[in-house]
Amino acid sequence: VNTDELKQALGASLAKATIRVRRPGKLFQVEIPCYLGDGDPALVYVRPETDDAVTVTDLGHTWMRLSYMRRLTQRHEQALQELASRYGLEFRDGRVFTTVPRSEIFAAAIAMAQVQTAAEVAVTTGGPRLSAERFKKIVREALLEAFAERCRLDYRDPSDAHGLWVLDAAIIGRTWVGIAIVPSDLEAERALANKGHLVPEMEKRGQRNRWVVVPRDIHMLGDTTQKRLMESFLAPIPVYDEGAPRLREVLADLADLPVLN
Amino acid sequence: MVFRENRLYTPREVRWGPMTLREILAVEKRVTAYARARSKAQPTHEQYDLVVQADLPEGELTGFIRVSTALPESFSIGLVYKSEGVPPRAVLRVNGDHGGTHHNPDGSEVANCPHLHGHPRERIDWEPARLSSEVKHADRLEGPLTLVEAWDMFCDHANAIDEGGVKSLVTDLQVLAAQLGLDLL
Repeated sequence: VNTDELKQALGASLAKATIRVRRPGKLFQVEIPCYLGDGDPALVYVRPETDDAVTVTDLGHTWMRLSYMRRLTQRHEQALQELASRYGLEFRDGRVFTTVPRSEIFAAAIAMAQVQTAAEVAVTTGGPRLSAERFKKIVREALLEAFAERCRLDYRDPSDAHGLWVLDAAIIGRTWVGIAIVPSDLEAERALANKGHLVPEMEKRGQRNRWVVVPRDIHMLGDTTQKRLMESFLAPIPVYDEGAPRLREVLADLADLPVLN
Repeated sequence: MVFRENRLYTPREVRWGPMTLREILAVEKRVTAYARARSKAQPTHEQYDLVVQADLPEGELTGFIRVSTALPESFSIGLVYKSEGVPPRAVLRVNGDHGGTHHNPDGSEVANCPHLHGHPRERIDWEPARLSSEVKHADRLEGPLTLVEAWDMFCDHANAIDEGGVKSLVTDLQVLAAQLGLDLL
């Protein structure tokens, strides 16, 4: 592949495209008139694979740019995967790419640019996300399954006659463990208020207590709320992953309990 | 701001926050870095986040260093302002040569070179809440620009003092990134 061949493959409709050799014979950069939110161009690189095939790739720049302003999580990864797939590309190992015959470079380059311009919005709003209700239900079911009769859902302290300070769950072991399930800022504030009320009551009775928060994604909470929550609760799993078995072990350990199978 | 009188206020009188961009840039910053290991999802770049300590009446500053491992001349060192109730605002960014032509809001262009991103100069006295989240203006920097030179430049423009040995870390990173970039060849 050389620059003339690439220009020919890009077609007359991209006559304005410019090609820059980044690594002779190995990597070319195709500039098409498409820009990102900060005025930088969409970054499209072409790497020859075989006589006929080329890989059109962003070399990981999309993912890198997204990381400037946020801590990237699995949710962002899934959102970018979905976006890339919508344009016929793949997002894997941090790169958006596709391998195509030379005759399809034009379409792949346009798709690459579109993914890059839409990425910021897609990761902010997209991605599979558990509803708050579903998230709470899943965690509650998992707690019951793991701790059976040792788990009290909707725990109410004996001193709370009117049910004003109901906690999502408590594990009753040698150590009492209070659990707050937190899908949102509002629930986080509720958890903090509950703890603020319950701790003095327990201290009056000399009851040893520990506090654990199970957030859906702690990074999605407001900065101040996040800090307050992490100062008051243990957060052994900052981002809840439905498949992760770790929560059960951590809670059993905190409550000084054997893990049930 | 508390409006005490029943009259119209001029834009100059209304403040959207306790500090302007000029003041945020001018405040002395002490910077340390901490590494975040590359995970499965980000094998394409080396990333370090910066802890920025500054005496701000509201909000906080953070920073980042990113280096593409496939194209080590493409890197980014940036400063971000975060405050409750306002989405994060990029303050400035030193970019290596990622290639292509950058378009500024005033129509000027910067092509195929390292560049310094910032907010348009006429907004230097705006408060973060009024600024866009992106730094849309870029000035050309003479290239080639090494990562270490970019770090010095970042410190100059951000009025930052390296208190955590960031420069030596950046020096190591420059060597490492160059080696990783060779994988492509």
